Amino acid sequence: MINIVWLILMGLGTLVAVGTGKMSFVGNVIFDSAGQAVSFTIGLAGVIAFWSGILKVAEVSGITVNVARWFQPLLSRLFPTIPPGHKVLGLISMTIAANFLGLGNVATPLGLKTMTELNQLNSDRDSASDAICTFMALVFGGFCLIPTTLMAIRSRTGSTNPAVVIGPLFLITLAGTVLELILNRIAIRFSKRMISNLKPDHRYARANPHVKHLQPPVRKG
Amino acid sequence: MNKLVKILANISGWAIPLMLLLILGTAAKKRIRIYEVFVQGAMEGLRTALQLTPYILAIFVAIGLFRASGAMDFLLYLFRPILALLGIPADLLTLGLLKPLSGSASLGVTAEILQKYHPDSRIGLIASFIQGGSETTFYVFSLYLGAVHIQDGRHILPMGLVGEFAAFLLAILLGSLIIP
Repeated sequence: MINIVWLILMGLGTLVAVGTGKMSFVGNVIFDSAGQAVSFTIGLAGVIAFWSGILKVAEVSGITVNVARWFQPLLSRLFPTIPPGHKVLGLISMTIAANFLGLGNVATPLGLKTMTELNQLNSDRDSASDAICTFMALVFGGFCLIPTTLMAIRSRTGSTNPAVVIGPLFLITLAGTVLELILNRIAIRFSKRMISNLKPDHRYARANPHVKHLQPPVRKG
Repeated sequence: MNKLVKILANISGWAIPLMLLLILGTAAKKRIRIYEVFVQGAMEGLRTALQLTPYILAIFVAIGLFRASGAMDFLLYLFRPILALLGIPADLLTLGLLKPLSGSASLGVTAEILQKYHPDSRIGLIASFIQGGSETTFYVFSLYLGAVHIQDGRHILPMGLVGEFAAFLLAILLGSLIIP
């Protein structure tokens, strides 16, 4: 799907620019955006590296596993494929908590660290595991109590009541998270059923992704 | 109410220093070689971050081209009549379409809308709900999956977009309920 979206964005963008006679414009926009992308990544690299370092200290001190233990009852239901008490459950909780408190700058490095740890448990490195899909559902839901950036903009633009959005946004993000989790559950069930309907040798191939010569051609989405 | 904002801002402000103190304190108690562990972890993080470059590049250029060429405005132009029927101002649609693509651009549009209509008006409230109610789906998708080089995202992207659309509708609904 990302392939189609990217094609539409790039293709339509170029076509409209050419159609409206802004030929030289295309090159300029690419030059600017590409530069912005690289300076953005380098800016992000600092904060990601810093929090990865701190998280490593937390991991070695045993804090990550402790956090995992606190949230175990809730998370074991959402992530049945992750062994109980695994440190990645702690990372997942910390990511969600950082977003909940409106700490966007910390939530992103935490989330990326969580993804690399989740991928360590992934048997098929080319395709997202069930646990990765569930984690993405939680991230997309964006469950949040304190929308820091938004309240800052509201008060800067002259709101007499910047915090009035907290209650409704709590509801919207809660509903969004629940919806994403339901969609995720349905999609995972559906893909399981597709796999069990495959012919036996295909099922073997799916269950053993490392046996490359048995694999059906991959549809990249 | 402004007191509430201050308290909440304090919670957010305190969270990071407290977390740092907790981690450093525990590490000190357990006599961990904290500097060496930190540097090792930071190196791993740096590797992840640099691997992100092609993914960020792909999404930045595509969105830059799509917006600056006028393709985005063309899309808005097509949708406008449908929205007029539903009574949704075009500015909110711009925000709704931009939100999944670019965090910084949608933040800018939110600020413009709040300035234009006042943050406590109906449209101002709805814009705030759209801004705060969902993630920047495409950006987050390419960032998070780029960090682990996963090619097949399965149902993740459609799931995110459906969720984002639902949050958009819910934002309009709640805003219209609060200020009819």
